[in-house]
Order: sequence, then C-alpha cells, then structure tokens
Amino acid sequence: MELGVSKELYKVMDALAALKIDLECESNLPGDAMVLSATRSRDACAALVSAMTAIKKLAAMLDGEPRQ
Amino acid sequence: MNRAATPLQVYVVEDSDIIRRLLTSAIESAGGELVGAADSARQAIHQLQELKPHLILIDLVLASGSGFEVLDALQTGGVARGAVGVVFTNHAATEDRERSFLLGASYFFDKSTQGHQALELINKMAAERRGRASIRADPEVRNGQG
Repeated sequence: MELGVSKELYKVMDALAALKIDLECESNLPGDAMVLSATRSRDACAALVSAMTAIKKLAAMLDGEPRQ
Repeated sequence: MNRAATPLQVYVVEDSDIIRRLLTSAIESAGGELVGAADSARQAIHQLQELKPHLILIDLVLASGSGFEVLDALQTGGVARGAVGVVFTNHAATEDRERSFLLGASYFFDKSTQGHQALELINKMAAERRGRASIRADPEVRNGQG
C-alpha cells in the first residue's frame, strides 16, 4: 500500500481511538451518571474533524487526485 | 529535589496531536507531570538523554523514525535508564508486540482496543508515586512506627 495512504489511515485510527476514550466508550458507569465535560466534548469534536480530514485526503489519494 | 517525592514524570513519543493532548490531559488528571514530548524518534532520543522520566509512552508510527528506535535507545543506548517503556500504538500486530517486548517494553497497548487500560496504568503509577511520597513525608512511617 502507498505510504501516504497508510499514514492517513493511521491518522484516522488515532482520531477514532481518541474519540473512543473521550466518549468513555468502555466505561461501566450508568448512562445517567456520565457527564461529558466541555473539554472532552471539544476534544471529541477535534478528533472527529481530524478523522474526517484524513478520510477526505484518503479519498482524494485513492481517486488519484493531487494531495492537498 | 528528591526524585522519590516528585510526581510521576512522563515523556510522550507520539506524532498525533490529538493523542498527545489526550495523554497530557490523562497524565495531569492523574497528578502526574508531562516532562516532554516528541513526534520523531530522533527528537525523542535526543531529549531523553537529558531527561529522566519515570514513564515513557511510545507510539510505533512517528513523523520520522519509529518507536522501535526509541525502545532500542532505551535498551542499548543507556538513555533514560530506569524508565518504564510503554508502547501505545495502532500498529499492533503480533510481531510488533513481540519486537517491542524484545526491545525492553514493559507494556504494550493497542490504541484501538486498550486505550482505557493505558490510562489506568498512568493512574496506577501516579497513585503509587503519590503513596511513596506520602510515606516519605509521614514521620511516623519514616521512623518505622507506621
């Protein structure tokens, strides 16, 4: 696989891994006891933006368009 | 300053801003201290020659070089002697895990599936250091009466 493609894929995975932690996906807390702080919400949003940016770049690479 | 009384000092080798921020937040929440960070193997090895962190979190895929180079420097180059090396990566095939342990890593966590376990380890190590510091600060314990 092209190096640029795998690098972008790792960026997507990093962003999703961060999102999973920010959203407490593995927490055993009951739903009504979970409070997501503004900081965590913003971090989760930043992770989503990063994943989307990397996926967009990947799509462009796979379409053969010049990288941004 | 007495090294045993300092909070858990952590160095992060990670090229993802998002993961670095997440780890920094986890380290500070646990009462630890981020003493440095690098996004490349060369920068990490250079800085770790001066720093003496208790814990080093290492991603395998870096902006340049790899986490294996950092592990190798820790194991054979006498860099950051005594630090606990923890690999935290999405590059988590069996051979990556085995190679990391061969190069002296104490723990290996897959970012996708073991993120919380990595954060729990940071919490546990920070709590252990706090415990050690409070034992040293307690005169009764220091005099063997505790």
